[in-house]
Amino acid sequence: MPGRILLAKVGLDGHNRGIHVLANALRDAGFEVVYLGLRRKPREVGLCAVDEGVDCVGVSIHSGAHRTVLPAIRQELDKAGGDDIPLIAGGIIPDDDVDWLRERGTLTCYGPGSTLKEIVQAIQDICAASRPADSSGLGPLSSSAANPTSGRAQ
Amino acid sequence: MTDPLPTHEDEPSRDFRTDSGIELKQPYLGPQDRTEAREAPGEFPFTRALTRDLYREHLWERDIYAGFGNVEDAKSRYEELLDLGASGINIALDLPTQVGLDSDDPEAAGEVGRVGLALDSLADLEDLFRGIDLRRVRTIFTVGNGIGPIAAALFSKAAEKQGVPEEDFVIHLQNDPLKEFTGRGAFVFPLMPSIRLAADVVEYATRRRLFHWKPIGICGSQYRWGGGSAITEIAYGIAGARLYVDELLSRGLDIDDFGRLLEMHLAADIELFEEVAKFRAARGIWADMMKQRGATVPEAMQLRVSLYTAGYRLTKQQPLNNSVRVTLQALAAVLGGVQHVGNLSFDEALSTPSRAAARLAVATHQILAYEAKIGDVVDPLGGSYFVEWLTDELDQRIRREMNRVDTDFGGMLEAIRKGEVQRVVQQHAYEFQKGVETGHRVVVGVNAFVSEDSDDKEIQPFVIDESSEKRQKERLASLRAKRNAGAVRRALVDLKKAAEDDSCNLVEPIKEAVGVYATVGEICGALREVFGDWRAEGMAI
Repeated sequence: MPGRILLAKVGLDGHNRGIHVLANALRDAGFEVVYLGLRRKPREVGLCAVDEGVDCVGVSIHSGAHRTVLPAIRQELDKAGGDDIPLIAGGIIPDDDVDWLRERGTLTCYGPGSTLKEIVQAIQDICAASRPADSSGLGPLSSSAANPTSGRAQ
Repeated sequence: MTDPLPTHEDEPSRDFRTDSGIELKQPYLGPQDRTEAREAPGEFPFTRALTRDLYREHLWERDIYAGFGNVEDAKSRYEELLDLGASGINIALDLPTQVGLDSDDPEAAGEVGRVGLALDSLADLEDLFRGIDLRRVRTIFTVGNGIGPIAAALFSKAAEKQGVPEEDFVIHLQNDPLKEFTGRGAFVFPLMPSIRLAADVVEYATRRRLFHWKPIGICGSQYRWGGGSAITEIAYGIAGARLYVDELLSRGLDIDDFGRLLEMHLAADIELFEEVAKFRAARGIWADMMKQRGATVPEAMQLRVSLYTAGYRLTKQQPLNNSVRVTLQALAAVLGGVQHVGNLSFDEALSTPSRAAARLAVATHQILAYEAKIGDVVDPLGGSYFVEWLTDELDQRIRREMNRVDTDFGGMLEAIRKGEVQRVVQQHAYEFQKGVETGHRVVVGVNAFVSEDSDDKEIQPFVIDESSEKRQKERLASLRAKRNAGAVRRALVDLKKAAEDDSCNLVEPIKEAVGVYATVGEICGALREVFGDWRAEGMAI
């Protein structure tokens, strides 16, 4: 089983076509997907990710609130004890914000035009890397670590 | 430098099926299975067109969607559009407003004024319309889905302040909370209270004989944009409409009255012939549905359609191609006889449209109407063996899906509660994406005919002024300090009492509250105490 991932939409934006398509693709690829649905709060995502023991968290945002929401999620993940759980994002996130977000703990952003193949592969790599007893030496991916682990941009 | 012309080996294969999966055998040498001639335009069930003259009498309505930030930011854009000759204002609302939250609500942080105007109270609208004569603005449109009566109350009161009565302008609302639960996500209250609130606005307009209003646009569009086909769009759209119609009938209203106020909000997609057939089939099914429920006058059986061209077809790559796509979609809409068309701009996939792109979208309408003269003959594709056959095919498939919803689930409400509508739409979306990634579904410039050398102009994403949220919160604080707190408290208490009474129409009590400057969040808060919020539905959303 390639991994366990939590997907959610955080904030008020309700555009969920993409996240559902991704959830389907991940399930087809053998992942266990925990989908929290719409209108989630960063704290809910943090607690649930740790409770569910997921390998990765993916959040979708189309409303432009990503600079508020994504760093908040990273903080809540860390607070809940999930500082080793990587966070990735999708939706409408301008290229100009990707580096700023990476510095604050969002590993990668997948905008329009990203393929399912590309995203699923990236998540497979993330999950493989974050397993215990893995020698990749990635270390904790908390917001305080300015350590980009993946060169992949949009 | 020119690209070499594609050869047969380069070209994508085609499977000769429509987007909704109908196999196109051809040639169509005669009338196929249809033995009777179709009814004339203007004759029940209005398949060919709502009226005999349609666009010869009155061209389709053409609008431009706009809005952002707060009142100061948006005002100048609306004034500009009015000066350009737009006859209406289409007010985009931000997400906190759409879901019934004030700009200073913790949940609204980071979201104020982003996707539209932040509208906290009547004071915001008064400021927006100051200097704009609402008599000149013939129509004010806003979505107002979960907050239908509040949106209506806000516009009505703002006009009242200018001395303009409800009879003298058009309030045009989407006001369809049902579809929010399956795809769009701006729900506020649980399902049944949401339907009640939406119906309240229609009932108010019916009893006040405000027949020029358009208080509801029942959506099929989300059952397409979220994934889905022409079949799901119309089947679920009309199945949803039935719920509102039945609610209004249960209030003792005459269907020949309120039927005149209903319209549907659909999509215009790019497979032109299927779209035309879809609009024709939809009119026939709607007319049957209304007649079955007792409608007798044409206006109560006619399906009025308002739509936008389908945005999910637009690409970030080679954005100029989008102008071609929008042209084809708009052409499909007018060949299909709809009443109101909103063209998207070619840079829509990248940001809020530039002025030039918006102007091109308007010019597209003008070229279709005045140069190509598309509207000079009603239902020009009528009589085409192919289009008549396709109309009948879609009619059958749509009715079959509606029957499945009724038979397997006991109706649209249960189908939504059980997640069936969502499942079908999401499945379509997944298949669509897989089709794009395998290349089976061609998207020019993206997975076929890709251009190495990009001539795309440098498009700057629209950037909201970050101080906008702070300014709006200051406005709100100032309002709370200035208004009559006692009057607000009393109005909210009265509203709650009225909400507790199932038989009470809430538009008047909400108007009262709006008039004393209760905020959108406070009004929704009072209603939430009675109805609960959408989480009470217990659905996986």
